[in-house]
Amino acid sequence: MINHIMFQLTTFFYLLSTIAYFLCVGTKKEGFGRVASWIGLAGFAINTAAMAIRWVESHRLGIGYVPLSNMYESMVFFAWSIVGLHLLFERFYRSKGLGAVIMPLGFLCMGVAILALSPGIRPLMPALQSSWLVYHVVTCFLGYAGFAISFGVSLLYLFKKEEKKNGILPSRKTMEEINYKAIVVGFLLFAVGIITGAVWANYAWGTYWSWDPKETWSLITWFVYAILLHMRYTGRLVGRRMAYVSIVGFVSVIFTYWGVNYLLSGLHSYA
Amino acid sequence: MKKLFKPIHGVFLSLKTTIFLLFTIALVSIIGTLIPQQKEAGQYVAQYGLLLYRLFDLLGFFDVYGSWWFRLLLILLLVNLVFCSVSRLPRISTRGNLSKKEWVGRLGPHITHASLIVILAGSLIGNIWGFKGFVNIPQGESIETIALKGSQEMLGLDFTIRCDKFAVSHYPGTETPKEYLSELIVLEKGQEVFKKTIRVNDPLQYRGVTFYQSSYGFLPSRPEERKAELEIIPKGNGSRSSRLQLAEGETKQVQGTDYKVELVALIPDFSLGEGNRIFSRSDQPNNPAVQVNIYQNGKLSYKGWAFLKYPDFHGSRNDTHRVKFINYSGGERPYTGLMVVKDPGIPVVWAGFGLLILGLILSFFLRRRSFQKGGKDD
Ligand code: HEM
Repeated sequence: MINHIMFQLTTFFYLLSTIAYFLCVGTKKEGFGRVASWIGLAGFAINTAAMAIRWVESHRLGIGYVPLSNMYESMVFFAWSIVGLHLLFERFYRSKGLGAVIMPLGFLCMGVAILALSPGIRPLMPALQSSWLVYHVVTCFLGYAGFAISFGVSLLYLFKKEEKKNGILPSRKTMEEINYKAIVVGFLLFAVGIITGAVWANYAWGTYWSWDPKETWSLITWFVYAILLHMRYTGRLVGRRMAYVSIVGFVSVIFTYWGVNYLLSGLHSYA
Repeated sequence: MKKLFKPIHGVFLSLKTTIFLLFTIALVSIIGTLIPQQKEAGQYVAQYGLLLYRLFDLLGFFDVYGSWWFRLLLILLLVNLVFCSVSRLPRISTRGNLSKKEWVGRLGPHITHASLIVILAGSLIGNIWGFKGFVNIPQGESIETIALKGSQEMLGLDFTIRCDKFAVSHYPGTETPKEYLSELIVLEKGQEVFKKTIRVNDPLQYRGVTFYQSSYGFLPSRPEERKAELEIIPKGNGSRSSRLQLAEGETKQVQGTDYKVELVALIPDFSLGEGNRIFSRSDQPNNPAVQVNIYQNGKLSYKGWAFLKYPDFHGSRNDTHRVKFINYSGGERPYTGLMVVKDPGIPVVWAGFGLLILGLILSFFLRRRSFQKGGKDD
């Protein structure tokens, strides 16, 4: 299976990129950051190609489907989303320091996928054969990626003690802005994810909402970020407090994604 | 009255209340994800013990999302939303010195909040004027009533649904099911008016009622449909064997001979009980057996048992015939299990979903915000 080998290669690139970002922050040399971005971009390209090849391989096996329907496939797509969104944010905010917290998340996802999850391509059960599944998974994971970036920036915010000009890490104000923007992207896409999931459930099972643990935890996560947005509006959520609430939000994301699958039971036990 | 109303009014206008309600709803929702919902009482007692079962039952923990206090929280959030939205209405109309883009953007949160009201209204419509039910249709049969979910009641439909065929297709070379298909026909006053082959993810909709492929199974066969194919071999020189198919209780003259065959008993799952009492263990053809009598010139000449799975079993030497049980057709029929839903709130909910996305896009991308001192930007 070529796709699995390419995903391993992707993991290696994300690792190299992570190391280069660390060197960049450690030595305060922009040059490392540029190298890190390029390696990250190369990894992202391989990641993309690997997903496409997996799609082709599934068709060769006569069970053709969009490779977004089991834990392995969702993890490699999550890594793809995180790295892709990171590269966009990095271009926009022209700051190499972010990579040191976000690229490791992409590497971690890939690492878990290739080490701990089964890479087999298996036929889809009838309920999963719907294009709504594709829209649903894509939007949910792009949303999760927004929350992952918010989480990374929040960690960086808490670690960076005082306002020093070093040119590599963004200013605290910029970090707060990135945090907010990432949450906004996540909140919107995740809302679309919940909605497409509801529409799909309505086609497959005849109910758009059945309060199964996955749905309920998605709503809880979405509420945590809604609370965050409203608290910001009242002006009470600035600085470190914003970072803490963002981290709580991401814990809820992780629980929605992994906790529900492995600790609770429900309709979504497939992915 | 007004004095009493004022503080309540204030509470519902406050964004602190919103935050409190969102937080509380999120928190109590967790309970329903940790405790399996709406299961049998026995299962709960086994899992939690009687004392804890009573306590949880009292608190409504076994049906969190249907409990009065969860509904109350949702209603409070709704009231909160309505109050905030209405009190801010006057400010929408004043454009002031805002740019057009900024002004449209400021509508964003209002559309977002309105969309949530629309979605909740849609779900309420579905709850009041809709229903959810279930029906099994054996292949080739029709139904006009369905069983309502969560009650013992049956509900009559305004039309008839017939299932012409149910089938499972598999991925090539595997046992993994690929598709479940039901060919459904809608009939009104005996006339076929609509036809569709449904599968999971592709339901049939007729007059606001939707039929979803949801399960399947096999009906036990009816005794009169069970048939046994026998081979009768008369003993002695030059006699030809003959084949014939019989149902239980049937007697047939075998053509060109002087004997009649009676199928006394046809048992799909032969078993011996106490005192060698013969009975059928199930309706499934696990061990089909027949009891056969043969009459020659009106006189009983043979009496014995034959088994499909044990063709070598036969009676004594002195028998006039040998009887072989060569084929069993039970007539087990598949049935399709359909979820039947009427939800007139769906278009409203879908509209709410659309508004929600629109509202969020406007809120997030058309407004300028400052990041020096939190988010206050109005
Ligand atoms: C599930 C419930 C709710 C959700 C998902 C929600 C969502 C949102 C969103 C996305 C924004 C824009 C935030 C931003 O741009 O930073 C917002 C703003 C706001 N919400 Fe809510 N909201 C909810 C409930 C409420 C309720 C119940 C109230 C009433 C008290 C309320 C009052 C406000 C106010 C006053 C704003 C600021 C509007 C502005 O920026 O002009 N929200 N809400």
